[in-house]
Amino acid sequence: MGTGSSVIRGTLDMLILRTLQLEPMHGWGIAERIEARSGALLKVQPASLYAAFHRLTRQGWIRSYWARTENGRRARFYALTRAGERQLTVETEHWRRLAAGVARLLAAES
Amino acid sequence: MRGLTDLWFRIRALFRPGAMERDLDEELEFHVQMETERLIREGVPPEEAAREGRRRMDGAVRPRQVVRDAWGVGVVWDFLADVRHALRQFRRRPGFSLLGILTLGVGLGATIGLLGVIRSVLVRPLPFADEDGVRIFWSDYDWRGVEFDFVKEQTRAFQPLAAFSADASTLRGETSSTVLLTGVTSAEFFDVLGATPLLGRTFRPGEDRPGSEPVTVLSYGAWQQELGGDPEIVGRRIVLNGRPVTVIGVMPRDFYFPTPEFRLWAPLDLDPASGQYQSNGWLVLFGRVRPGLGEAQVRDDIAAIARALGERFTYPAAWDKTRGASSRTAREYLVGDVRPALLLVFGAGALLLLMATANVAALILARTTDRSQEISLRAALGAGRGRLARQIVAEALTFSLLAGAVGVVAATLGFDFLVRSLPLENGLAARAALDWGTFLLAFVLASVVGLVVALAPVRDLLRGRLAGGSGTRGAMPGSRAGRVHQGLVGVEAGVATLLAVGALMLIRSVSGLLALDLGFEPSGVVAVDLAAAGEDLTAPERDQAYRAILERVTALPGVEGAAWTNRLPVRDGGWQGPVSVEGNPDLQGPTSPNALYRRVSADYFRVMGISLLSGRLLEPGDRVGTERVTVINRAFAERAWPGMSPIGRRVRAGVTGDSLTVVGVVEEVRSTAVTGDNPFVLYVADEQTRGGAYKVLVARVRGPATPFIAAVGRIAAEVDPRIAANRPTTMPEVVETALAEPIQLRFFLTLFATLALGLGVVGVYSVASYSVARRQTELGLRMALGAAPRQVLGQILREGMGPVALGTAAGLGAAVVLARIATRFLYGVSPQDPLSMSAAALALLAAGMAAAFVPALRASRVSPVESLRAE
Repeated sequence: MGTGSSVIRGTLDMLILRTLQLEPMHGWGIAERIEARSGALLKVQPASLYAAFHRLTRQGWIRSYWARTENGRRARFYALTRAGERQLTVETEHWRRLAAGVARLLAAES
Repeated sequence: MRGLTDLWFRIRALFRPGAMERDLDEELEFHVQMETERLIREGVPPEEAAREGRRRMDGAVRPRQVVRDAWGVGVVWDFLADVRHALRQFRRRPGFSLLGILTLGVGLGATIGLLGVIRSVLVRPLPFADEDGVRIFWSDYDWRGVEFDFVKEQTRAFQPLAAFSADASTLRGETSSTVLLTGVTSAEFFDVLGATPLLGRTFRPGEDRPGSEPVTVLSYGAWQQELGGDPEIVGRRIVLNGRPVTVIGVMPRDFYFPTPEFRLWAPLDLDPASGQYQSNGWLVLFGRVRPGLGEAQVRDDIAAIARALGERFTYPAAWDKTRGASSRTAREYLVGDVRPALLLVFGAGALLLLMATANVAALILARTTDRSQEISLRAALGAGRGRLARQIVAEALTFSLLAGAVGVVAATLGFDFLVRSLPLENGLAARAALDWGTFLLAFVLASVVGLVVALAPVRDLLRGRLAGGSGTRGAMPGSRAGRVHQGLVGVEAGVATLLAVGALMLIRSVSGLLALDLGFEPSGVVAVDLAAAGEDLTAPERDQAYRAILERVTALPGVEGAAWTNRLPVRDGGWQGPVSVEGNPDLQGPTSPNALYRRVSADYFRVMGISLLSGRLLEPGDRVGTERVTVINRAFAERAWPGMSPIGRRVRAGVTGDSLTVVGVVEEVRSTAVTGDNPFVLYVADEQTRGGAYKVLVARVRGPATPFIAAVGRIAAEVDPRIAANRPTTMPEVVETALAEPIQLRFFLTLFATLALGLGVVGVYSVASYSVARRQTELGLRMALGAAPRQVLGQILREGMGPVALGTAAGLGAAVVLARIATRFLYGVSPQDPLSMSAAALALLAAGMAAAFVPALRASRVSPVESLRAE
């Protein structure tokens, strides 16, 4: 994924929110989780990822705090806020409708 | 909520980027380590894993840059970088930048200073509650006690209604006496104003009626200065006019009414049985409008009061109170007089600022056009046009805010001088101050100027007119930038013309005023007020003391003559009372004309230099026991006995007055003001009347006034320490003060017009030079093709003068239109004075010609070969 258009950016945002919906996590963990669950299709550039974290924090959908990992290392963790939860629901619905629409379009063509 | 989080984030990014970056670094480092460990788990050798981990982080795009962009404060950082760049640019061309900043700074400074004065004098709330509800009645200082009580009964809209007037009290101190300007008021005075005292209380109902104990309320200033700020002042007794009076209260520091010069307030003595109550018109009526009443109801009430007055009292035509009934708001009453003059000066200052802005705009536009190559380059390298526009705006704002800072400093340093030079009277000057609100306005003003200055270059940029232009085709007369330049020059010429016309008209007015025949000779005359008021000073003692003082003063070296008068011409108004003309039934009783009473001693006319027209002057022989005589002025003589000699005729002064025989007629004297109508004057001999307690000593003195004044004070104290000397002045000073407004306006307009002319010359010069510099090639070509240097000179001159001529014509047009506003300040000069207008136009055209001459000369000297070679 590049750093470019807002569609891609919006998708990345949604993926981050979804990942955090399950549990709070540090930045690297989120990147790994997205990669794993998408079947290695989506490999996120660190630049876009961390820029997205800051953007989402500005918008008040996630918050961050410093804590220790299981290995005792200091890392910054992110967690979903209530506003983020609401936003995720909205975005998911929007994405589903978009995907359905695209699918319908492709079916009609064939 | 989201907006707040966003804002908080941005503020942190703006002020603590270091901390945020350190956190980011740590976070990214953690990411690299985790990635490295994963690679090791997958079997990659540790060294290679470390390298790969780091490579994946840095990748194609630097993460830190992208993240910083996501912080949302890029605009601010860009702006700061632009400002630094602009400052570097200024340092590279210091002369040009300094000139521009100073020019704009002067314009801004003048405007800021004047804004400060206007805000603090005209706009700031008056020091009492709800000033809108307080209304002053018409016919100032003209109401009688009996009328006041009557109106109080009649009014439906005003509650409470009060009266006041001005008087002077002599405060008896330990070693000397001082005279304090006193407000004598009815009991409701402070209630109408809604003013509460700092200490003690204000008047109670009934304290303005006979039989009540004498009390007084002090002003803060009087309490501090004359009574030493005594903390136990309430309840203490002080001696006023020889009587012990109890101090019942002190007003807060910034309270004053009607002017800050009133040092204390005392209650009136409204005694229906006294003659003063019935016939002395000297009060001002004012009241507070009942809550909930509208404008219409107030007007109706005033009209009803006027009608009722007409029914209850009879008024002669000359002073009919039932006519012109109206009321003014307190603000109008207290500051209304200075508003027009202040606004005029402010308008002129704003025009000056406009000119300075135009100059700077032309300079910046020229510079931007110069850099069109640089700009094209940047655009080609990918700098968005928006970014470049922001850079121009940042440069213009840096310029204007720097100029604003200069202006603020100039305004602060020069504020006192400014206030002194403005026609602010009645102690309003004390209220003038610069406050934070004004500085905020200054900042806003400077920003607006910066944005305006950036307007033309940014518009050109955004429309792609700057990019892609070759440098030498910059601002030719035909090009758009050239047209803007010429437009700016035209505007400057117009503004400068307007200011010059105004200045010239005022110069002529003031000359006319100063040349007016006052009817007396002011130079050399010194005046000192003397007050012998006190209940412990009997009339004979007083008269004796005054005679002694006059004798001793006359004997002083350098004194050519000394005399008494009860009022000083020009400075003092004076009471006008009805005078019945015997033998003329039209001018008797209720239709008696009003005349000023002047109680003067015999030498008065000689000291003042007033010439006799017929009959004789008052003489030392006119004293108690001899025939009661009077000398009148010419206007009175002509009105009362048209075509006949008034000598030997008789008049009756006042309601219960004695009959006076006219023995002489003197020339007109400007008795109450320098301009305007002259009232009738009745001069009576000081010795023949019940000598007043207050007199003004006038003396014609050879040599400096100050030692004489000191000598008078000494003599008065030696003769009787209960007599106080007050308000020393000279007649030339009095006349100058009376003419203060036009004199000060003349100063300002002349100053502004000169500055405007200077700015205009700079503007024409720089625009013309710039144009010539840009067109080296074209000019060289022209001359190589056979044009004579003289022709080139003429061409440049015409191009430079074109906008100047147009602008001057527009300025004259504006002057004609705006002349109406100026009428109030002009004397003896028509608002369309052709002399001033032609002189201004000539000055402008000459200045423009001179300014364009040097560049034109340079153009004509261009060597064709060199300029072509330089292309």
